[in-house]
Amino acid sequence: MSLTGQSTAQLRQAFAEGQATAAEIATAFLDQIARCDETVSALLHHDREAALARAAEVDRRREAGETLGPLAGVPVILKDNICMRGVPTTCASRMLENFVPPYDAHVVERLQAADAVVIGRANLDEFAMGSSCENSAFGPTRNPWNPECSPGGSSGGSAAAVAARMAPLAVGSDTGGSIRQPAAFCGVVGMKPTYGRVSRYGLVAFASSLDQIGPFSTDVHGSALLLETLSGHDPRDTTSVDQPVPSYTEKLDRPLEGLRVGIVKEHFGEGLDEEVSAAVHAAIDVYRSLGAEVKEVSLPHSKYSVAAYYIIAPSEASSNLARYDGVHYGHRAESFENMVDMYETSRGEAFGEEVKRRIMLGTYALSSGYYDAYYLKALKVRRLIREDFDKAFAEVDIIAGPATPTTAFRIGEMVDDPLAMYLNDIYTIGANLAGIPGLSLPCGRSDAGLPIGLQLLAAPFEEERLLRAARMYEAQTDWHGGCPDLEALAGSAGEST
Amino acid sequence: MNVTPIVGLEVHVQLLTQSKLFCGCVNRFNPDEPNTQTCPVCLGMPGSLPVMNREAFRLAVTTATALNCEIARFTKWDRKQYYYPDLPKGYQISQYDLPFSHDGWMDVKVEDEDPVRVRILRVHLEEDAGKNIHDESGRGADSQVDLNRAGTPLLEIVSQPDIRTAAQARVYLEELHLLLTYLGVSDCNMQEGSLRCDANVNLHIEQDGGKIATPIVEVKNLNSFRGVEAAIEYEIVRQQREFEKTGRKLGDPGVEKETRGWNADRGVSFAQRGKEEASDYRYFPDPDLVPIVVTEEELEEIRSAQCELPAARRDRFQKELGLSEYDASVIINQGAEFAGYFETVASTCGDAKQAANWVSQDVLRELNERKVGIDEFPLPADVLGTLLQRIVAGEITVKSGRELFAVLLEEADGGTVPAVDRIDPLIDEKGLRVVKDTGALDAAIDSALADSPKAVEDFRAGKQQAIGPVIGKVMKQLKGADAKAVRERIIERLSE
Amino acid sequence: MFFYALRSVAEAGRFPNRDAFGTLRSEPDSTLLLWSGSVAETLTPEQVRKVARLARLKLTEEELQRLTPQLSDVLKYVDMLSEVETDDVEPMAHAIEVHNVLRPDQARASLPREEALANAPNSDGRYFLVPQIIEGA
Repeated sequence: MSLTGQSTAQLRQAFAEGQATAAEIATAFLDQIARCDETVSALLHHDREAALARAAEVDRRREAGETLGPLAGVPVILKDNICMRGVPTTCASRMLENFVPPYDAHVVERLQAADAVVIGRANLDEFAMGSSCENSAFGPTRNPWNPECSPGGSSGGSAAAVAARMAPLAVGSDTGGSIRQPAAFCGVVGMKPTYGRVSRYGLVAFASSLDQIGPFSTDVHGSALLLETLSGHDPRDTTSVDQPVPSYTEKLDRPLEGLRVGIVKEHFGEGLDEEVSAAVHAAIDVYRSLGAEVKEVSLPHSKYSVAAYYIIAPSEASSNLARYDGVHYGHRAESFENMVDMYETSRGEAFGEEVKRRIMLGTYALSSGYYDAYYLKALKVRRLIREDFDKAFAEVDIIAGPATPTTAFRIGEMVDDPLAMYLNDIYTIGANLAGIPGLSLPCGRSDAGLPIGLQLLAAPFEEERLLRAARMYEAQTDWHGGCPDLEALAGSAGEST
Repeated sequence: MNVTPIVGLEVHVQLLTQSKLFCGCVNRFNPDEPNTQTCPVCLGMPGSLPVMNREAFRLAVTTATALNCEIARFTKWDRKQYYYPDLPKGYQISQYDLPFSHDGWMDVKVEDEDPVRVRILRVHLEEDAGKNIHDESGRGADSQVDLNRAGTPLLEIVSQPDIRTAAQARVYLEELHLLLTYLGVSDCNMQEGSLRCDANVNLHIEQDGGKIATPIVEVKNLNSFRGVEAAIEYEIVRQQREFEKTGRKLGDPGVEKETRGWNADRGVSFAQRGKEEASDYRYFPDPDLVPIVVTEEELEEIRSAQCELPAARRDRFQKELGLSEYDASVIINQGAEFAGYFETVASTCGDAKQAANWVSQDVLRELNERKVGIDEFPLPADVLGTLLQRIVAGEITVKSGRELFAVLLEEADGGTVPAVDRIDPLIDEKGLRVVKDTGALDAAIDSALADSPKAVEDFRAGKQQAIGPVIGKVMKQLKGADAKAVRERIIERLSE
Repeated sequence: MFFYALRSVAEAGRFPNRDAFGTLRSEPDSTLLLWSGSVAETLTPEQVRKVARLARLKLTEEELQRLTPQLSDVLKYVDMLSEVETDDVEPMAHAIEVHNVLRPDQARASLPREEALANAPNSDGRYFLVPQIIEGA
């Protein structure tokens, strides 16, 4: 099998046993990028030479007999809202088109310490605001399963890159479903850890109390491995939790005895596509067949989660994005009348429409006279949502349900209806509000051939259980082995390679 | 018309920490090398996150405790949002509805007036902004932004409007300055902007049996004690005239709080253009910073570590050491080190009053002439104390003491800092020891009288002042003699 | 569970919307006001323009016309929160509720000035440069 067809575990083994060098592995994936990315547009930028040099360095160190990290030689793609020293970090925004951070994010340090090879920077909705990747200032990413469709968002580039085998692993960020929804749309595994599990230091903030970095992979094992690398306490992020990181891979293949799976009746109501519903029910049947106890739980406030989220996230975003004023970095307008005009024009020119919409919403919600009615109210409802989860997890170990109401929608289908787009996050948003971990893994395909995602949720810091439960299902099915027609992707880009 | 000025002060003070409030950049005044004390956090770079400095919080609580404030058991940080080039994040991390402390007080005593208690509304911790440097030439060149100061820990101390005179405001600021330097929480260097003051001023006017309040004016950036006093004096007069002219009062439609600047050179305040939408700061809890919970044990630790505060020390100097209010104030107001110097001198010589005279006159004069602080004064306190002890014991005269003080200083300046055991040899070298040997004294007197028959004659004829030259002669011979004693002995001899 | 006391607590107590001198900090802007009880009304372009000014965003007329109904739609949607009974609920500002995370007061190296200024749109090599600021403006 070609190197790009291999799982992370297989690549590690190939490297460890000397069947492939890091340079060969990197070359294979960089070639895949060259073949497919003209069609997919998963990456905003990548530096082939720098990636190969980094891989060669890993090889040199292996030859010198050095002990290497757990991701030695494994290519990783990084969402372009995570700072890497000396490498452009654009957030898919005109605002940061020329921004080069002078420092590394915590997760970048971790990846480097693990001897991974970062081979490219993935597209996203501008500043991670969106569910389709259409809000990228540099053009949308396409779904490898059907280039007419969206890969989801905001980490659409990361998901599409893994689906198109441009890397076995990718790093994304999830504020309201931005890892799990694109993972579902692209037929890969994607996980949002517990808030505080992974340091946010160096992640360009969208909504600080909701943002969390997490892994994408072709299989559950890959996410477990990458999460082990990314997790852990960082004194530079006060919301990073100082708790030991268990080995998520060690017991991954051991099924959970007496697993209690919760299904939420509110997740199977109006708006859920029938094909998605059927696939998710079939997945739950797999758990039953494995001896799990399946019981219904209620999250009575889940119907308010989108509303609470679209107050809290834009409020924080309006503040987090105030720093982009064209003074210390970022875009500055060419002409302006005075300083205030410079601010307004620079921001007006460089932010895309969705970013403006959210800044406006958040500014409004925090402005005097509205704080209590909007922001404070939303924070109170947030607690009720969290308490619903606490009650549910007293009864079940994981909650299983659809990751998205539908399979991937067509590019352009929803751009004029932001509210409909927001409602696409209805199943994923609750985990961000509550701070709990969630994961999406492939559980079927629609008649149109588009992937369907199963979302699993667990109590805070129960990542190990979540991954093992996901692996139980994965071991019984072969949806994760599915791969889009890569030849077609390469072919439609012409014979340029 | 009976006019009562109503004044409250808002004081910002930079805390003396090694590093900034939310990052590890050094906390140091350094305008000469702009933008060299910055990092991703204080530059507000995308992806950077703040982490609270433990020492800054401790200094903040120490200060609030000394200001008799209640310390909140739960406190949190909020974002205050506005746009300005010296504010790189577009918001200032500050405290809004749950400051770490509130409801304190400080007593203020203007000389020859009764003390006034000024209540403190709140003390909160926040980050300082950077500095904008404007082109003053009028040619409209770009403004420069230096972020060395951005993120410096800043304490905001807000008084209640309990101040009634410009002098009270000045003394409030002086007393606060003294307290903060005593505590060592700030260097309070007003030239460098470590201590900055804004004053809120309006008037309560009794008219036709009713009371009218004039619109509130905030005078910004009063950066000297004299400036505070002068600006408030100016405002009181200006606001009264303004009221007489316009009749505008607080609460009238369209009347808003006015912000004015202070021109210290011309001694006038001037209207500043109001910041647009300045009132809508859109405060909300900073999601990047977690709250702080203060325990009783932590508070007790801070309380027990607290030094004697200036007000208490001033009181003790009067009650226990018997100093006058004036002397106690002069000494206390020089700062903790000076008061410490005084206490050592006083305890060594055993006479606080004598010590106070010397320290507040001779020592202070030297310091002023040398333009140095007590920490750079070359004469150790125990040496001065020992010298004064010799005066107290009658071994040397006050006059000799002054002479020896000058000699000791000279030696110290020459590089040999005198020790306590230098005093007695020096007295002897200079022959300044008071002569207690009556034989030697009588011999000197006899010899002087014998040399001055005319004086003796005149004295006996009733001219008291005639013995002046005789005293002079004796003193010339016996340097350590006490003029008073010599005079008495001469009179005794002549009366025999 | 560690409970937060946010502005709801303060409203009942110490600093209800007043600034340091007891003057009202921020009167609700009546020209922005659309929240009447639980029913959100429709935003006007004028209100949207005011919010844009507050957010320092220059909007084209076309953007304004498009944004106004979109924001109204979202606000109407979020109005469903008003049906939730939250009187005794503490607001939840953080996803994980920890406290007292502080760092030791240790200075460490800053960025070299070239790096601090490297991303600046305008700089003279020592300072960030901005168009002349009129003090107080």
